[in-house]
Amino acid sequence: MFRLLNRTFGLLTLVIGAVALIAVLNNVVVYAESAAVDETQQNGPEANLKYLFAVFFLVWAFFFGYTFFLSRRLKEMKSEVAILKKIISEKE
Amino acid sequence: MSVMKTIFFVGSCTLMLITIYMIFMWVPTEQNLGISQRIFYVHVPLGWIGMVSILVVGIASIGHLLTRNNTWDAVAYSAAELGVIFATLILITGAVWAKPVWGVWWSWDPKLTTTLILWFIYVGYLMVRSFSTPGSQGRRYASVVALLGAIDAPIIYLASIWWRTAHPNLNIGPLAEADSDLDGRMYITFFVSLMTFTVFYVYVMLERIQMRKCEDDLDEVHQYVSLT
Repeated sequence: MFRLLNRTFGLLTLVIGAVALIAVLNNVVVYAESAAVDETQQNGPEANLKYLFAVFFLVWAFFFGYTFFLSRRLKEMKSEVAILKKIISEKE
Repeated sequence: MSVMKTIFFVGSCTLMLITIYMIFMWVPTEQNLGISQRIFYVHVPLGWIGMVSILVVGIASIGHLLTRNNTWDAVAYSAAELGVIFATLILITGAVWAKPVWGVWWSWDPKLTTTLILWFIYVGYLMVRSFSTPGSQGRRYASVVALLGAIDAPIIYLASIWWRTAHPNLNIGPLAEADSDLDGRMYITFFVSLMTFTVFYVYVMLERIQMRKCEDDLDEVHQYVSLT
């Protein structure tokens, strides 16, 4: 079960990475030297605030997601221990 | 161990609240980059953890190769799993910051490219672990991958010195320029944030290592039960 979980985790990571890479290569690739800064976007005290919130949202979403992943794994481990205890007691 | 974990857990929660207050309320806004510069206090500590994590994986892998002790392997595996999460966050937060500052989500900047390579190294390590046969062979192969991957950490740090890059010059670290233009409050906020993420990383690492050991023990019991 754990190997299956590990494999799923690895595959999921690879798929997400591949999709992200395709999205990046598809439209938005430019070289850094040619990147232009739109100064009008930087005016005003609240300009680009959405990007700051997006960063915090994503970071916390990842942390909570990983915690959820760990808690699920812990739950599965507990159930496996219970099954193993039962098997061993039956054999004895 | 549990006392230490509690200390790290409470410490990371408290520091996280202080960091959020400092980033949103206390630190001054940078004049050129505006409010989006505050992403710096999250993005750079994530980058620091991502680099430290691959070094932890590398050192633990050396320990495992030399001693064949499974505790080293548990440390390496846990650091790699956390590393892939932090490396993903570095790339995502970097892209979100790049959009308002550079005008694009991504560019093939040396620092970005070497960080992407780091992400692939982490994924490669986990894939080797997942698809190798049970036993010590897969662990040894993965250790070699980790050792090769650890070379990438100093390359990422030095990328802005070695190559022409859109990233700013080094402001922090042993090779940082002496005449940095960062405000004093910005330095304080940055170091508090760095400490927060480091404490959080140590706490999650301790939890994950313990869980990894349990997984190994369970695998052994599974094998024992299937044999008897």
